[in-house]
Amino acid sequence: MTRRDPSQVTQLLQRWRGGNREALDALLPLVYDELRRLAHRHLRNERTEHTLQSSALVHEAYFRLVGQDFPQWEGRTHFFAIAAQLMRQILVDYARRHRASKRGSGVCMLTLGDVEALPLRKDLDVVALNDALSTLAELDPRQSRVVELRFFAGLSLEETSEVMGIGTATVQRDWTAARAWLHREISRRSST
Amino acid sequence: MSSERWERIKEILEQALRLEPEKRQAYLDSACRGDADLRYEVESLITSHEQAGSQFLGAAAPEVLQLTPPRALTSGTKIGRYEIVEQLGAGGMGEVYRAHDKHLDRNVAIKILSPAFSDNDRLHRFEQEARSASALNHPNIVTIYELGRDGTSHYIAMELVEGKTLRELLVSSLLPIRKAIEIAVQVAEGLAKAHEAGITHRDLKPENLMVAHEGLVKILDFGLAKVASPKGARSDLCTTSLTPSGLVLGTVGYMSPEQAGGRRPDFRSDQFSFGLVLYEIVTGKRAFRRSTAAETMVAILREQPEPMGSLNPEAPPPLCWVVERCLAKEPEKRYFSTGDLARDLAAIRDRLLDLQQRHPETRPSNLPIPGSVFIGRDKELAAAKGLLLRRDVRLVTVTGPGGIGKSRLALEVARDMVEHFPSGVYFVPLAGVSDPASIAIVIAQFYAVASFVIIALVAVYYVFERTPDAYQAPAGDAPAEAGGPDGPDAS
Repeated sequence: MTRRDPSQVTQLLQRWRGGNREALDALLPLVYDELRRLAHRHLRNERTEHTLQSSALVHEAYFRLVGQDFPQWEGRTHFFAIAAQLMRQILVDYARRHRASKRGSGVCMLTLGDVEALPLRKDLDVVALNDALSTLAELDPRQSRVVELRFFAGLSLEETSEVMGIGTATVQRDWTAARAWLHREISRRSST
Repeated sequence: MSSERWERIKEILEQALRLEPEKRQAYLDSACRGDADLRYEVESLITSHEQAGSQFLGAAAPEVLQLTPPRALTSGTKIGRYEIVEQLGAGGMGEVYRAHDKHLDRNVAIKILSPAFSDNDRLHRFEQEARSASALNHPNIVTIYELGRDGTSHYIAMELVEGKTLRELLVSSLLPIRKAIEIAVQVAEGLAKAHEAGITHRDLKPENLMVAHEGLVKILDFGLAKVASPKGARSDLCTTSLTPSGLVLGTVGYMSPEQAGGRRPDFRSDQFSFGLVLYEIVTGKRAFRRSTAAETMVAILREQPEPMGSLNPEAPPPLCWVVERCLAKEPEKRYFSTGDLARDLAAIRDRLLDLQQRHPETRPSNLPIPGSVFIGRDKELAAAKGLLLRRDVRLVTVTGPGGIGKSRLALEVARDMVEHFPSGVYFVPLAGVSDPASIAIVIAQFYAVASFVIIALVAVYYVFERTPDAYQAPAGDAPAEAGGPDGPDAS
């Protein structure tokens, strides 16, 4: 019910594509808000299905914010590029809060209607992954973007290739190396 | 490490991984040509690639987040005299389960307080509040059966309401004005009863209002907001959750100016929150929604919402006046008693019903009178209706082999849609159209002649059946019951 005026997001996307950096600043909170809202809605409603499809989430956010206003693929690529970054932020926030609540640090968890903390499967520490990914970005920014798009936004190889404007072979190479590199980095950090 | 070197490592790694493990050594010998560091780096990455397996980052991030809280009780667990059936939801104060009361052989809802709320002081206040709320006996308030304790777990057993929260209803569809008023009357009556007994809710919001399948509305969690706040904190602020970026996620959107300003709220604070809920169910918009919690609170304290009538022309003016009065910044300008508020709303509802009986709705429609009774297929009917009422759905297509009753289904859906689309619902026969390019023109003609918005429960399938070529057209690619952005305007 809180759907935004799609033309607002469309115009911002166009201005950003045209090189206007301020447009991106204005865009980020709008997209963040929507993704976050959708994530919350899924968490509240989907009691039987215990997973949340991130690609579905990103596509739904795109549809709600941009709709049919912006049919060109270019608009979608720009949108997904932002959405991936924001999904990363949202999920890492969830993971951090979960950690905090596990330590019983007395965070204000008093909302009656919200699911506040998400349990994480033991085999993946999203916070550690996030830290390792930031280190990887210093070495190879493109590679860390591939991980954001593939892992945090759930995009396919082909979608990632289109969003980044590079060939699928390059995406595949970056992805393979990034997985190996991140796995090594996370193991090293957790053993020290 | 230089980026050229890293690119080189990636290439060698990729090549090596394509080879059978026993051939890798020879490849690395030639590829690294005596550069021991390079070789060490690649070998180390090959090792971690193998350790990572396909699991690591194998599924996208949210798929690895499991949504069942770890403390969730499994089916069959006994709490007091109740047996857990399944989890219904989880909130900051604890989880809610469907459970079975063996003594009385009935199903109940059980809220198990999270240990965070189980300190003595909170428990004491919780019991006080819950006891006074349990004394409330009204069809629009969820009945509390028992406050209990099993080992270290404290729980509340209450009436099980089969239905959806008002929030869920608002997310999935638009409410017709009559339904919105009917819900409002019931909430006001429940509130009036509680206020008469001296109990305020303090956290009224769409998430706390259940609409049962048969239409009865129940208010949940009376008085619990007060208990949720830590001792000594400004009680009502703590029911909101502010994320680091300051986004409004919690209840801040439904606060009264007294709560936002940190003053002590009384029953008139509930009237304000109720006004906000009513504003939202009638207009589909939150009156004071801003991008940060702080801005929202400032808006609640100082700003006037956009007039309701301009957002929904169907809202009867007396209803807008009621909402305006509830949303007065000063409590003394609101209703002197919530009973008066409920009576005002009931009068508006009765007047609307009266008008409709005297002037039965003559909404524009050309729907043919069905020649047969429609039996069964409730699921398809509900699915199609659900899709049409979503704001983000513009086109619903029904596909299937000829003769299974698609037209009949479409007609039935369309008849049920009349009340939701004041501008009219039209049946546009496309059976005679053989060229997919002319579908838009045929629909546009209807649109131009009638200048109404058309809900095209379009019989596109006729086109497919008759001309196989048309199946290649983009419109033909829509899957059954899919909503798409590129259909004719249907809202």
